[in-house]
Amino acid sequence: MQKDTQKYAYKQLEPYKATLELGHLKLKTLLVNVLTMIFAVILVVIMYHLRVQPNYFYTFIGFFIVFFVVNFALYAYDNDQYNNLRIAMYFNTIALFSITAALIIVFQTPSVFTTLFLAYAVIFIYQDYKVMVLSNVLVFIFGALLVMNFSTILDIPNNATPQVLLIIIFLFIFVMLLALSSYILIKRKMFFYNQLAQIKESEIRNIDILEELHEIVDQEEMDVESYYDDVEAFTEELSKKLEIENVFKRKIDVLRQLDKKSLVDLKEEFPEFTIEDIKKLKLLELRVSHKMRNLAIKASKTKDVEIEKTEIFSESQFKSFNHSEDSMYVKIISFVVFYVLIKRDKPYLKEVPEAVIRDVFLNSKYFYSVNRKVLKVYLDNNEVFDTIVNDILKEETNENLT
Amino acid sequence: MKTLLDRIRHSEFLTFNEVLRLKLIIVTLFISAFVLLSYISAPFSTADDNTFLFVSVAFSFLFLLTILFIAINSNRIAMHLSIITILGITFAFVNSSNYFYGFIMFFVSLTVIIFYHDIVTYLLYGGIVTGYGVFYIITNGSYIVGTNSISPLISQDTYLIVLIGFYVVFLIQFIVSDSIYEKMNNDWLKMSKTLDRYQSFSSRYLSDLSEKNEEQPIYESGKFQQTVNELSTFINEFLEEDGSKIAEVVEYYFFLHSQDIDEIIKSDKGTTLAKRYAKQFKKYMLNDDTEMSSLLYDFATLFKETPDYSESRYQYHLSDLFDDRINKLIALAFLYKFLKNETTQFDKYGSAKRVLAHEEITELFISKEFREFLSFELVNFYLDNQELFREHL
Repeated sequence: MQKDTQKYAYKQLEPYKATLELGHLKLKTLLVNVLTMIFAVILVVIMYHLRVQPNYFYTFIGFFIVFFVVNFALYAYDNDQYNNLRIAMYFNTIALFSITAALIIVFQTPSVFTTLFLAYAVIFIYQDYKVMVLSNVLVFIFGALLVMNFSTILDIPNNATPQVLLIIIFLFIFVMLLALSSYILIKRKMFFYNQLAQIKESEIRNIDILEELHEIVDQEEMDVESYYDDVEAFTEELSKKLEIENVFKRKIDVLRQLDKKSLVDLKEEFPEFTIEDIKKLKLLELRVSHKMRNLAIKASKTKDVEIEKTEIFSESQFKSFNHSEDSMYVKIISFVVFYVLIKRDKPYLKEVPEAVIRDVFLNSKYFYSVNRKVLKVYLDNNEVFDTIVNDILKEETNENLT
Repeated sequence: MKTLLDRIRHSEFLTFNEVLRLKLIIVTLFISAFVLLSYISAPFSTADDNTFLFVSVAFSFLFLLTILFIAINSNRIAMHLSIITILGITFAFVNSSNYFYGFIMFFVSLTVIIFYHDIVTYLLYGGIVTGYGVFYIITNGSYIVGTNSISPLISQDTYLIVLIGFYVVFLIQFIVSDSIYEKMNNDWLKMSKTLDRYQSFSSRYLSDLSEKNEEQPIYESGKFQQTVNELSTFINEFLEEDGSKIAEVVEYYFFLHSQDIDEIIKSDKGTTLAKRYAKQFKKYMLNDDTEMSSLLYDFATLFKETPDYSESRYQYHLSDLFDDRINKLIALAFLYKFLKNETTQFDKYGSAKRVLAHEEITELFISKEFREFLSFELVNFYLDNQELFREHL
């Protein structure tokens, strides 16, 4: 079964996931820099005590200065910060392993060799696929090449055992275990980002459905004008009470005309406001699907929503037609009921054409919501399904019409 | 092996217990390699034959015990056993040789503990390994000082810094990643519960609409029942020899709509099978606010026309939305008026026809939940001027 599960994903998911990740990336970049700073200071103190040759001493200080300057520049540059921090992440990975390799080559002692693990630990903080691959390759290649080409690195007095091979085996196990650990963690992280982004968008769309249904039931739209009138009267009294000029009125006047006039016309009529000011006021609009309306609805429903400390995000929270504890008959019937319901017109969703339904089941998260065997029968025979529904249900609709 | 790789590839869909089991299997494979390695490295060991025999038998015993606990799904116990095994191997390696790779084993055992990604386990076992490692370096560090070392003392200090640094950096990583996941976990759960709330209001409006239009509930429609029956039988024919066996269960599903399903589940009467089906069907009932209705709304959201993503799309805090104080105050006034005038709550009859009273709004504004929308500054402003709000909005 060929599928593209992103085809029906909400279009807002990817940019929001990047926003979510950016917040975490900033924190991780800071952390990596602080840890590198601590280790850099320790290294400089040790090198000073060892009276290392000045050219080595200043070269390493130079490396760290470049490291922090690049990080500072990429962090501080506000334009496209997400991609800047990703560049910083790759730079830091390569830079830290390069500094470590240089240290091992300069000192050629087993104790300095172990700093490879420390560099790996610092980079592990990022939890990113590409960095994971890069750091695992670097630690293994650097480690193996260094012990093979600089045989004196592992020289310990009175020791003649074949340590190089064992070190490479240890490196392999170290890299494999941590790479798998990282992989599982990153998969879960990406899954969380996806679920969180999805539910945020789903909330907005559910509010839209809720408000559309509300208006159908009430058979009238919300009286937005009365809001402007009342808030104007309120702000007049407020201004009097605070003994200030009524600074609200002109903005409320703009609000009244936001859905009637273009931004340019509004700018002409209200020259004291910039286009940006007027755009900001759009967030205060009260029509269905607008920010202020959504905010008010969300606020009205948040009371007493509590999370138990023991509650965790798990498979049991997901809604589907494929719960592991259900019998096959229940999986079949629940899917069929759902299918027949989406074939009917509803106040919040018009009848969906058969070709689209099939496409959604094949190319969206619904692919995973239905038992694989049941879905295969449907996908292979969807025209039969369509005919059965049309023959029986449409017959009912026709009967009702006559 | 293919199943194992598939499970790793799709590990995000596994429950925590399943992920732990998966990790146990991987660690067990690695420990097998170590047990094997301990046999291979025996000729280089400085320990006497009896010690070697004892250690090998002990490892093998612990290893078998781990496999046994994995088999009976006691994954937490198996995890502790696998860690104890690797700790045993580490201590045996370190004590039976004075070689550098003995010291490297401290990192390998920390890696195994890190692999389980459990902060308490890491603090405990990781702390033991690191503590022992520090003790080992202080007492025996001179054995692993390199030939090229300029200062043996600084070499030992380097070992200490790297081992402690490794432990601390991973501990920081655990704390950071756990706090990030906990926040995302709570956000998701809260959103999920709020979503259920929106959907129960939507269902209420739908049911009001049906009543108003005097429509027959869909589950009572003979044609609907017939369609479900025929399609279920059709699918079942591909899965069972006698496809029509499912018809009885379809009939039972629709019958349940006229019954108190909780009563059936709790009742002492009725067969176990009937109760089991009732329990499983409960989430798919059409006469209540269930998983089925939630899935339908969710499906409908796929077809909604929506604007592209913007920075403010998921922001609801007035301070995040507006820099301008005037805009914030207008928004606060709108919010108050909306809550006071629009029907946003269920009344005592279960209809979505109740508005909030001024006192309820005040209580809401000062509640913990409302920090998601209003700053303390705005709440204080409201409290200072609440009579104006009450009078004019």
